[in-house]
Amino acid sequence: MVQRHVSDPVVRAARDFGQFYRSEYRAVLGLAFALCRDRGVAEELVQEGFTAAFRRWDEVGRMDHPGAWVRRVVTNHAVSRFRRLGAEARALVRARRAQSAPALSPDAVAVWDAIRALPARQAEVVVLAYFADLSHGDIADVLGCAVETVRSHLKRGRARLGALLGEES
Amino acid sequence: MLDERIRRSLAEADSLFPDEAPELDDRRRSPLVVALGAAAFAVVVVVLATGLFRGSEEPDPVVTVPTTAGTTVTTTVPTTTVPSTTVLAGPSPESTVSGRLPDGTQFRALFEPAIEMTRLPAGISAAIAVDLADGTSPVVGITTFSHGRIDAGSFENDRYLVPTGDWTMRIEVYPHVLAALGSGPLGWQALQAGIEGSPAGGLPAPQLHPPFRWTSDDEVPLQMSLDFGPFVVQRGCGELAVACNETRAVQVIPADRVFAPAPEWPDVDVWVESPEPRPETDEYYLPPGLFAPRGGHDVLWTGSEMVVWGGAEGDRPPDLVDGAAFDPETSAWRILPRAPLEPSTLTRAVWAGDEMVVISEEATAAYDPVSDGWRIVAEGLAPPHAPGLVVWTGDAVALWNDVGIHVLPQGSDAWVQLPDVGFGEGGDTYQGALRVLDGVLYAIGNASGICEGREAAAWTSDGWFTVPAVSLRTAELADCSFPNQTAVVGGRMIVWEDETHPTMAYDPATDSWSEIATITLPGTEGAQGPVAIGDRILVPQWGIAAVYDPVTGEWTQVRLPGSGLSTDMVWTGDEVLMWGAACCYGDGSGGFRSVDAWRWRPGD
Repeated sequence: MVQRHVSDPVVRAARDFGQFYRSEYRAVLGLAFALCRDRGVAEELVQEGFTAAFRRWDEVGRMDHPGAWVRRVVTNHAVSRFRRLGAEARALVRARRAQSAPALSPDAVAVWDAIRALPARQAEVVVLAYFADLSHGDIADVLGCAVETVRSHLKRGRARLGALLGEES
Repeated sequence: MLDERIRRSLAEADSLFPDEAPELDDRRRSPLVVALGAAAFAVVVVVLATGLFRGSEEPDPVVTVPTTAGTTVTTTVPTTTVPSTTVLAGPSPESTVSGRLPDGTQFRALFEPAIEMTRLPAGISAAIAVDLADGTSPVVGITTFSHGRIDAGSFENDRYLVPTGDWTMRIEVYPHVLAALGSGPLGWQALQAGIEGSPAGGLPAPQLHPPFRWTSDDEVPLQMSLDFGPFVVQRGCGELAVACNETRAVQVIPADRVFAPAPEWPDVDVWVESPEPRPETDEYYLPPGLFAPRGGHDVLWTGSEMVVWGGAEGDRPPDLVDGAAFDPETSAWRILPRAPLEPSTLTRAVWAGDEMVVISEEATAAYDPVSDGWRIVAEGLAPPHAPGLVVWTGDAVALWNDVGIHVLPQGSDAWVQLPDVGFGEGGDTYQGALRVLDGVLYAIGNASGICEGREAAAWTSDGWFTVPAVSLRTAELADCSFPNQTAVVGGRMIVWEDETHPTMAYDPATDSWSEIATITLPGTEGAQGPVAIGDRILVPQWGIAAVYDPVTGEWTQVRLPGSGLSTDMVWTGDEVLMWGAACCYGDGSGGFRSVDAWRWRPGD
């Protein structure tokens, strides 16, 4: 068996990634859960996102905001998953909710559902702004779009959320 | 106020998440560890193969398994329950199975499995090639299980408990039957089963799958290419189940399609996936398809055959460009020739009168079942993600994608984009459905994200003609599922929501909507598109279906053969043919695709 010294670049990279993973996991899981509303699916998405980061850690680890990169991967996976599976995924999630939905207050459930009813991009921006607490610039980094686009989606998302939740936006 | 409410609600969920991150599986992280793991894997297999290890002190019995064609495969059956971390089969150059078919053809199965080890058993796939007498080795099957859940996890106190442990896979090939099994905490489970030969016997026609690849830029799932080790046959559970541990089955497949009967097996407590038990008879079963399970595919009725086309294994791109057709008269499948298209992110197929038109971004192709051949008919176009957004109008294919509504007139080689239909907010994207009523193309839908009602428009030579919008009085935050909740029967367009909303009908003669049923049934959200069965509407979901009868004005519920989510259906004129399913386990924690097929006559 090949043994490696702790100063070996492979070992060091693994250690750095471990710190990054532990520090970001919870926030990224929250983002995934916000996007898919299913704890199991969210965990899977997060695993995929961090796994992708690890495979490119040489590159991702040197980024200014590796967490943004992982969030972008998770967001893309969440959106593509639901777009592909469409009604089937929604039906599956509906069926699983009864057994697997965490105990949220009725109001929180209403807000989560309202976010899920938004167009995908608006939902992403809302979650990244309110849940992940990212700045508009950071959200633009995550989504790979212009800051103005982020503002536009956020404005429209808030307006639609207000309408859906019966509140003034 | 709104901001505070959103933040509070999102933060509430945050408190449910664990403070510490679970371990990211080492085997997923490092090629080095993967290599070491593979080496260790091989060692275990070698040990097993040389007889230095046994799961029991008793020697394993040698069992001769008869196949449907009378050929036998002799192998060894482990006699004890194997711990989840024990590998029964693994990389070995000895991983071939050879035999002789009834017609004398020698065959040899070559295994090229790719196993993705993750914290959860998220992906397992394998390609099976067969050596033919002419020296070719076509891939006759690819089995994939990826990004589903095949573990035995459960929620307890808001924590998802996931049994850990290694997974492995083995493949069984009989002349007419193939079963691919995965091993995990529950024991061996069937990932795919039932590739059967033609009625005349012999191997299935070579099925040339594209190489199994993930192409996403930001994700290259870890795959280990391994040759499988000793050929091991898993015992069945009673005469029906193939997926079992000591007491439970998680998938029910007639044993004669996978294994020889194993009467010594104990009775099992079968998990069913639907609210209603599956009929305890296989009279509804059709021969399974000759191809890989898939999702996101299209199922069409040509007038004489049910065609299953495209889709993606593991529900992930690229979409396959193959398919098969089932003839209910002969109860036989045939593999369609591969389309002259490269696997792409997405394809859509529609039956266009006398040929099947397949749309991808690369090109638009048509399959003629009479000549059994393909031709490129037009340029490519980005297909929509839902099947209800491509229709045949009688003289053109109409398609509604993210850009707009397009038509390909019969005989034309160019798609034409129609003017904006003008629903909802200008410039926004739409969600909706296309339907054809009395030869006229109708678009029904609204701006993306609005579920309160639906606007509608009819396409004429003068452009879009607005018809009255229908209000479904949907004030709640329902999922919008237009393609699955819009159907044309009896000269009217019917739309519905769920059990709390009325069913509405549009009559083109009066250009008006009317309420035709005050209540629907749970499940009419529709996991799949509705099927018009005569003058009735059948909305399948979860092994049951809601049927709307315009004569009585009522929705009723019927139980269907099969029990999976997402079974596609076609109406032949006197029966419903069904194919495939996304099944999930009884606790809703996992799922897999099946290639099961059924037939059902209303009233059965």
